[in-house]
Amino acid sequence: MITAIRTELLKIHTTRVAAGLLALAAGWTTLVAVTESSRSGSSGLVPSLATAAGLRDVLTSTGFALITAMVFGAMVSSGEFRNRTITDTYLDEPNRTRVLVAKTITAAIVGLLFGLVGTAITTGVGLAFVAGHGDHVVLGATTIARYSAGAIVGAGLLAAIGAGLGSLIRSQVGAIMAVFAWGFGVEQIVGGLFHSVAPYLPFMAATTMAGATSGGMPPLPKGLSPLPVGAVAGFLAAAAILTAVVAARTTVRRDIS
Amino acid sequence: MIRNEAAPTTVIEVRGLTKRFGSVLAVDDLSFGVEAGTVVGFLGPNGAGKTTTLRMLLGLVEPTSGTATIDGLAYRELSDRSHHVGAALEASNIHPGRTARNHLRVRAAAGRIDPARIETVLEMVELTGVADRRIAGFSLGMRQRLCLAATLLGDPEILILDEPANGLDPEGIRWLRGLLRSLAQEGRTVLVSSHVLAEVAQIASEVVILDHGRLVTQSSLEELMARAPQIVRVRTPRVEDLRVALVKRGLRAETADEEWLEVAGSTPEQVASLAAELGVPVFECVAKAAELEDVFLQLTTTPSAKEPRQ
Repeated sequence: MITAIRTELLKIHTTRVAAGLLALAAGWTTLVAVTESSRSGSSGLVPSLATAAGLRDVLTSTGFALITAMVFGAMVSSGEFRNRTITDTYLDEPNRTRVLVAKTITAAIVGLLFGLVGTAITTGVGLAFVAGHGDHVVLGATTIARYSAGAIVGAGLLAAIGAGLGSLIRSQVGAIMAVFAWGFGVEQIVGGLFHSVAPYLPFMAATTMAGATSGGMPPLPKGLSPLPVGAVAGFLAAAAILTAVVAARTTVRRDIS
Repeated sequence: MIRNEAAPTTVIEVRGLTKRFGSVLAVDDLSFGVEAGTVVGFLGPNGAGKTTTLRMLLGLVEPTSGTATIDGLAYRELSDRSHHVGAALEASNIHPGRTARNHLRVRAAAGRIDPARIETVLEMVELTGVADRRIAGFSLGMRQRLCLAATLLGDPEILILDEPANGLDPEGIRWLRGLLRSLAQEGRTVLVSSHVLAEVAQIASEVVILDHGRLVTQSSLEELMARAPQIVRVRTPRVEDLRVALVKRGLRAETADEEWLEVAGSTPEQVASLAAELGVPVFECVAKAAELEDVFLQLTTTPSAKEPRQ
């Protein structure tokens, strides 16, 4: 398994996909964080950065980085089918379940980076604006660290789910569209209609683990009661395992012709 | 690690292999064997089932029935696979965003192969100068060479190559022949597929011919040559007169052009004697050298082979 994981890490290191997606996540997160910070306190609707709610909204605007991590995970698996490199992968390691597990673990490891980049940007931008306004940082270091840890772990677990999804769908375009349709469509509709279900929707669960309570991008429904952090992590890990198991029992077994 | 045994050993064995894709029977009860240290051409027209057979042999496609083994084991059961078997299936199975060297680094890592081999195989396939270029800019011929480099990374004793000459220019094909010949001389077992017999005729000692998923024949090149139809070419100013006379004698005679006639199933002596009896002048009368390609085409275009398979 160590060989398989090392190989997957080398595959990622030798292409531009991860770097490109990280740059996309960083750029968009910066834009969102700067926009949120600039708007804070400008009207009654957007709380000031001098308030806990205002600062939290900026620090937790890591949603796009999280969803990009999931896209990355999907591309780690589906990219092998798009580029037909899966043939060589299965020639080198015919145990397809081992390949899938290695991809899931590798996606989770690299996925952490998306959370790290996202939270580093939102925290940096948020605190820079607070300092610029001459305000005090109203959230404690522990709270900020918890938001960061939540974003990092959430991104890793979403990337793991993405890897299973990419193996299940196999079409790269289909897998990417499925991630966005899920994050921006299905979860929004289901979460908006059934508040009790919302905390259990993977993307919303990960976002709440990163500290978000409402709003954001994609927007969280108001009145969401997040699950405890440990429960969210366990739930997302279970979702990643379930996705991988379904893929292993269905599409992963298919002929490579 | 080259096998060196006195008694021939069957290293690749295909028994009753069948693959059905829905209503299409791609491979139909196929059986053949490849002995250690031989170079075997795996031939058949496009769509004959060659690639599907090789993919079943390599565990990429699940057979509907039958077995395909290497040293008595399914590919996935082999230990130390990369040093045992090297396989090149398609030149398009390469990530275009990687450099050639990085592609080989990935393959070496996956196969637990000493990275020092990368430079060796790059030199073997003459790609050292472009090793740090992205594969997206490679021609099909360069990709074929890179595929072969990856196949040779583990210094395997068995090579399974699917249409390795595809995309190569004449010089590239000559280079490939030279490479395969040198690999064969080292005692490696090579199973190389092609839809062009001439590509493998100069290096293969034996051929397995497939058509419409069925085995047509497995034989040595000498045996195959013996099946080549005897053709006599006659040059005469009275082509039509001689043709009619030969046909009346029960021979198959066809006009090649306005001066030449081709006669099957006869000898130059018989044809010349008949022409003399008829008073038809003959300027030349020679036995045409038998061509393997003719046998191959004959074997793979028989009416039975054209029957639709369900």
